[in-house]
Amino acid sequence: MVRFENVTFEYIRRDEEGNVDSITTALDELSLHIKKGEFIAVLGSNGSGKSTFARHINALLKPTEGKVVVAGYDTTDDDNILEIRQRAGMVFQNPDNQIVAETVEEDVAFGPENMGIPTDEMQKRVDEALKKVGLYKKKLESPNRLSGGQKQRVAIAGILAMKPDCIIFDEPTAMLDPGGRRMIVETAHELNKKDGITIILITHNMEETVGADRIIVMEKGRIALEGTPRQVFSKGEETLKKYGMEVPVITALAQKIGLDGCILTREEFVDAYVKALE
Amino acid sequence: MIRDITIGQYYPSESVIHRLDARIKFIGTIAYVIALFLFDTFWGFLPALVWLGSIVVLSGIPIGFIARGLKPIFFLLVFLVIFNLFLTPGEVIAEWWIFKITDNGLENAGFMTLRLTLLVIGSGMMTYTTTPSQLTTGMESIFKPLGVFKVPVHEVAMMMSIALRFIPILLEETDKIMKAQQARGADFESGNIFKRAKALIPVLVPLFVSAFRRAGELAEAMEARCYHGGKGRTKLHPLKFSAGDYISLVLIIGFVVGMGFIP
Amino acid sequence: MSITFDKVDYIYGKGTSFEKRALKDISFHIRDGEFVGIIGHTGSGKSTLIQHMNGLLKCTGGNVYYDCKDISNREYDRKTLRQNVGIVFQYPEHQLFEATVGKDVAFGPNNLNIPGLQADVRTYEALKSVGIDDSLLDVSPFDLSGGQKRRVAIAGVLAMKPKVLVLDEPAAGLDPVGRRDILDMIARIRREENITVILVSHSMEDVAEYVDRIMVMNDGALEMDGTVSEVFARRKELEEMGLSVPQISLLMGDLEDAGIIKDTGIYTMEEAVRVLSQKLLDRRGRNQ
Repeated sequence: MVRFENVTFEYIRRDEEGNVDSITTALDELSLHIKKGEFIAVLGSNGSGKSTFARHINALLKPTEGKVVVAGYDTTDDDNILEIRQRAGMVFQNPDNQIVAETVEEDVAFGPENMGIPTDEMQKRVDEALKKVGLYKKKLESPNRLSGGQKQRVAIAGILAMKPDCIIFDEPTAMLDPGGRRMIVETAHELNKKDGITIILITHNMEETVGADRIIVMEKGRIALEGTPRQVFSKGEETLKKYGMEVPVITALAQKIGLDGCILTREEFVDAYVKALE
Repeated sequence: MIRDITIGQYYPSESVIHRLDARIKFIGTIAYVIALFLFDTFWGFLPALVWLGSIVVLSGIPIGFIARGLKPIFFLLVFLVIFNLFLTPGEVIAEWWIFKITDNGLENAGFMTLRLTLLVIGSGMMTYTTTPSQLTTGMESIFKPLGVFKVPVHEVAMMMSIALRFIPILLEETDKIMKAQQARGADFESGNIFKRAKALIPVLVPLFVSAFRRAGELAEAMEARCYHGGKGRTKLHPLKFSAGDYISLVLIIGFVVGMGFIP
Repeated sequence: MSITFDKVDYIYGKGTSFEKRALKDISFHIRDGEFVGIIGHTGSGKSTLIQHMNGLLKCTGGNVYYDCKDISNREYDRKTLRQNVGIVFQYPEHQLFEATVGKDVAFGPNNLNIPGLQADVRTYEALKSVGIDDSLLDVSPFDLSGGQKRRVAIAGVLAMKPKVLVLDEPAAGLDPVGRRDILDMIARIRREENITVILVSHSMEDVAEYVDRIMVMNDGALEMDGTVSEVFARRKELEEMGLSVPQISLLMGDLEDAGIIKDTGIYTMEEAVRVLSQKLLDRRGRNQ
């Protein structure tokens, strides 16, 4: 679905005369393959290159060196851009700054409008997408009246209406309260399971990554750690701390009292503890 | 919440006038304004009043709401009356100290007041019965032919509608920044005008920074959703003329032509 | 200094179509030196509440007292109040505006008409306590990293030398290590300066480890007010309000439900480690 081949990306900062002032390497020879239907969580400290990585999948950024291929389309070819963006949608961090229109329904239609979908078909897609995220009843309301979590779901619906194969979430829960967070992560999992949409979730919240198929930990534009949540979190607190991460609380507690195996959920913990007591 | 404020003066309702196509209302308003300048006798006001009156009645907007719309031009009206009343030469009908009121002056004052009032109420009717977003869509459609002359019609319309969405958000943000600076001892309420203007810098700088950040993020989000200008774009709610719109169009043409025949 | 709310009501946009009762009959007393967490989901009234503490909003009913004096009194010196009760709003870095870090931090002291040298000293001290190096004094705040900006903005309030420090989601948007750093820093400042700190958050997890007392806001009302373990004991109610309880609390609850441990009221990692490993040791000792 998504393939990165030795991708390097440099932010070049220039002074007033246009001379190169500084070069920051945000991605450093990154190679990665994401399969269709996978649920990937991307972790890493602020400035580790996560957002730059995400923007390459949607062709908002293009590699300085190397190649990114999304659903068979090379992002460096300008003719492919609309195809890529329709297939790989993106949900951003700030709920306010990604809603364009004055009603929920019109905002969800924004993507399909850009794609030139005929009106009848469009209304169907919009309604379907809104039902999927549970906001059909709000379709005529102003987005300004919605909560943060609801706005993020409008953004998700806006992408669903484009019928994507893949959705990239760039810290979608950072500005939400716990209720809103839970809802967004649940929605992402549901889309992954029911509709087979590939999900790439960038987050700072360790608990949100527990249900992922694979975790990728980034540092300085490279992949520092990779594996199932169990594999990654069993590396222990010290290793993860280096990358600006923490072990999920439950896992950390299990490690501290010496329970065997890498425990991720509360159920697993209770079972393991009972066993240890016997 | 500040976010609840409505931009413009839209009066929500489901009346016949509200349901008309925004383009018709726009054309109708222009035609009406032109018609108001086609005559120079008091007789001309009769059809204009009837026309406006029927629109007001059909729209179901309370007179009080409409009268409030005249408030901003009240002083202009007073000024116009005084100006015309005393400074128009003609046969004097009343005199007091250095002030002379002439017959022409009286006539001019009345004429101007009536015309301006009708003008303001008439154009107000368009904004009362059309949401800002309908208006933008309508304008985009009307001015589309200008695209031939490289006028960026779609872009301007898109900018207007985005501005409409972000005005409440930026107002809220202004409030937040002001409070944060007040918490650091900033004072916006005392001092002379220069001091007050200077006190706004700690508000304006963060506000601009934030507006640019938002603009950048929004542009990115729009691009990510395949936005590439107006080319090949379809609409969820395309404007469509209904029978009512065609009837209105005929009425508007009839009205303007009729007004043209008034001596 | 102490803050007292007595039957405080706040009605927003009175007489308009969007009139809303944002605070409902709120009474509490925060003593000098307390470390309090205010929890509630978005729109629960937390922000409205804290804006009453330094007079940015004036209650429409009831009274607010600072140091036992009624702040809604006409003669009350509001400027001094704002100096004494410092509020750090959400995403405070969005309020930076000066050309240099030093000037921005000095904005508060300058508004208080504190003489130059003394203002400089305050600026240095404030930056030092948030861990910003002197070498950044003349740098534009807009060139700093996100975490540094946040610290500079907090320093801007600290430079007022407040006796009560209120912080609204000070760790929002930071990575886990950054969060911990900021919260540890706040706890340290509280110890060093010996001030009252009020931490506003929608996350129990962050607050539980630091504060002594939690106030829970829901729909404009003060729903709960007590020690951390008292509040977390009402897990079901909290969940109904859409608030999360710390994972440790949830886990201890699960273990309790499974009949493994007794009601403990444990919510910190240390406590949980202590109790659970003790139990394991006991069992092993018995088996041998």
